[in-house]
Amino acid sequence: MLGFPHGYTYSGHPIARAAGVAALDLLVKDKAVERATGRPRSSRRNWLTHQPWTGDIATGCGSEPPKFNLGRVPRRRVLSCSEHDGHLSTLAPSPLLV
Amino acid sequence: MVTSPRSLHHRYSYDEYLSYERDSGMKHEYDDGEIIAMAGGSPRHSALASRVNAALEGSRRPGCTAFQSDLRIRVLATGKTTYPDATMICGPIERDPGDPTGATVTNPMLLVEVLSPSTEQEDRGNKWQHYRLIPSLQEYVLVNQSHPRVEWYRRLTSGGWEYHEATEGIVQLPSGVTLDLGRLYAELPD
Repeated sequence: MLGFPHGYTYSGHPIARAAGVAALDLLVKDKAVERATGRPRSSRRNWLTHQPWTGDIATGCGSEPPKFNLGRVPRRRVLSCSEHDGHLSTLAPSPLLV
Repeated sequence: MVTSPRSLHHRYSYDEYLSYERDSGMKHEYDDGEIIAMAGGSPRHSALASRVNAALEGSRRPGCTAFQSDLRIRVLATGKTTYPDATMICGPIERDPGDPTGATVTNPMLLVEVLSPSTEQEDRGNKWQHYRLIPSLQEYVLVNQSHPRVEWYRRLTSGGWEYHEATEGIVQLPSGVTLDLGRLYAELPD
């Protein structure tokens, strides 16, 4: 018996995809990230790294952005993404911001 | 069984460190498998480091080159990799064979660290323990940030190190480098 293949109304739909691509184009064209944060992404990350309240920094798993543990530490280590689990006070910025 | 907390952390290889630093676009140090993010300098630290660099450039001998804090140094004996606040190399630059980019050097003759509350313990302790294993190093200079005080170690022919300090006047290092404390500390920003 042949099933009837279908998905959610928004997933894989050509119109939804075109709208998504157009939205991303606008973010780039209008420099939305830089305007929202007031500085380029790398500078924003640099700023977060150097705050006195920033502790160890965890690399993001895969394409995730890094996460910033909160709290003063004598040496600000770069942790692997799997080491980050369990830290209670963490700043996890949106991928668009860092 | 007692396990050292240090052993619980992920240990990065030197290649992973180089790759991470290149991708992050920021400066990090490397120490025994750990990648350490460098603390941001205060305006006072930056001004003091700038004056130290100007002094090195102004008093260097022929054949010597002064470098600011963008130069990465690797201690081949231990693998520790740092960005000193100022470096001087005399003679040909020797590059780290482990860094294919050629951006890391291994033969400083003089190193300077400008002390700050967050780094002083490391600069005086762990970092100095590594630096003294660099065969080419002849002088290690510590510049206090809070008040006029310059300390330096110089290597003796016996292989030991001799300690000196000054709180005023002009410091004349054996390498020929001259540090005028009056000029170093005049009108520093807070």
